[in-house]
Amino acid sequence: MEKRYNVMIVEDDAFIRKVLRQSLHQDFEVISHINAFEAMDWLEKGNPVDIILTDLKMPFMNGQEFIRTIRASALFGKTPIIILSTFDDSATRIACLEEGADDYMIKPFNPMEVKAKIMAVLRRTEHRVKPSSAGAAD
Amino acid sequence: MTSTLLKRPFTILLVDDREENLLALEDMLEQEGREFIKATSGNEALRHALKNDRIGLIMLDVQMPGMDGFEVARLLKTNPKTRDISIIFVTAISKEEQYILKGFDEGAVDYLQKPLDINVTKAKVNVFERLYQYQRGLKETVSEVEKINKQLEKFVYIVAHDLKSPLTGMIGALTLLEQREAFGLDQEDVNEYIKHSKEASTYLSDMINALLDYSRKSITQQTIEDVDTQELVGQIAKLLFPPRGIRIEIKGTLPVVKANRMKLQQVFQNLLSNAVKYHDKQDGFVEVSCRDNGEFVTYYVQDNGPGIPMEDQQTIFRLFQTSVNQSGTDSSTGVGLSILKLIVEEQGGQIKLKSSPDTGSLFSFDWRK
Repeated sequence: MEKRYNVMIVEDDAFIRKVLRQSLHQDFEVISHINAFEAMDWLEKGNPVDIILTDLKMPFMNGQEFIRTIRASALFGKTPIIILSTFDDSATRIACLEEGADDYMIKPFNPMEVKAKIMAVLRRTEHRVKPSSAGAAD
Repeated sequence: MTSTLLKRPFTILLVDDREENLLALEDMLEQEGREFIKATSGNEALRHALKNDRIGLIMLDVQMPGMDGFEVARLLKTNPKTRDISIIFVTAISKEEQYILKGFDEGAVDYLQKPLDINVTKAKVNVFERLYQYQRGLKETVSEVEKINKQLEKFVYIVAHDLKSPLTGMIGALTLLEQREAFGLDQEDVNEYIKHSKEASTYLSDMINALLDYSRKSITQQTIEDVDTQELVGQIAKLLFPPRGIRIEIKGTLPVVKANRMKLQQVFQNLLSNAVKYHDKQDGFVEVSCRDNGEFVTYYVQDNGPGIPMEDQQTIFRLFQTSVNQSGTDSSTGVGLSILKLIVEEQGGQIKLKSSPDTGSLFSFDWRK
């Protein structure tokens, strides 16, 4: 069986979450979480995640704190992260990239482009990531 | 714009090295709404002027031992803190002094000739007092306008970003629909995306209406009037026609406050109608109460309804955030609450929510008296 990459979506808007899942489910294993806390919990339990696509403005823990927490982890600290946010000012983009995000996309998005961007970031960070075993739960 | 602040006393700093002159001046200028500070040397005068930011006028004797009146004035004019205080020199007016006087900024500096003529002195000080009160009013208005502008700026920023959220979903969904085969959509998915997009566009339309409504109110309703909140809440409660089994009650007596009636009404109306709309109990109540909080009155709207889920409590005041509570029964948007937040915050208050599934929701907001 062909190994597939696990994409983790972190997004508090249910509709956007669904659109993203639909956009990606043919090519990736998709796991989605509604906030960074749930996402951290999933990661800390050792679940396989190859790349993270996250919103910035979320309740409880915002995207930047989320990046920082991930990067501080010995277990999954090297996971590629793409930000998907309505904030389009360069100060926010710079701050996120400096915190350790690998790329930044602006909402509204084209589903095709999200898919292509994930592929591109995975290619770029290949030396950091090997596809983990497929079949992760939602 | 109405300045809501009360007239502050007019503080005059009297400077003369002779105690009896100070007393005579004070006696001459004594009037309701005025207060006096006295100094017998240039140094003491500077100390007062730097320490006390309420001084509106300095009556300054020119001939004093040590630092003379002109020197004091020069120092006051170089310090940004004291630069704008008006000065009246009290002088014997020699030729030389006349020349020096011309060197000072016109307008905020004047002089009175010794011996002082009571009527001229009184009239001059009256003019400076009016000028001071007028300038203070202007300054307050400017800072009020600046504050409101900042809030609006913040609001526009939030609106712009939160407007994008439903659009993001819609644009994504439309792209998926356009290429439904490529993305593997079945008929059920198609229906769902259409339904969602329709809802999102209704949200956007409602939100634009709410914003227009708010801006119309801001433009047409600027008057601050006495509003009897007991009466206001009573009227709103009656007009909501709460269904049988839901009681709206006022605990204690709600006070009369100074307010833009339309805005305060919008706050109560939204909170009460939400409490009624989302109520899920056979025997429901909504209770309005208040507490005196010094400058503000804090109003409470408590219900014993279903409560608001923890994950929604943080975001409920954001534009467009709706709670899962509505369970498809009503297409209300989250727009209402974010505008309430703006209304409450623009007059200096805060709006808060405490909620749990067991006890219902408690909204509180501060209103300036």
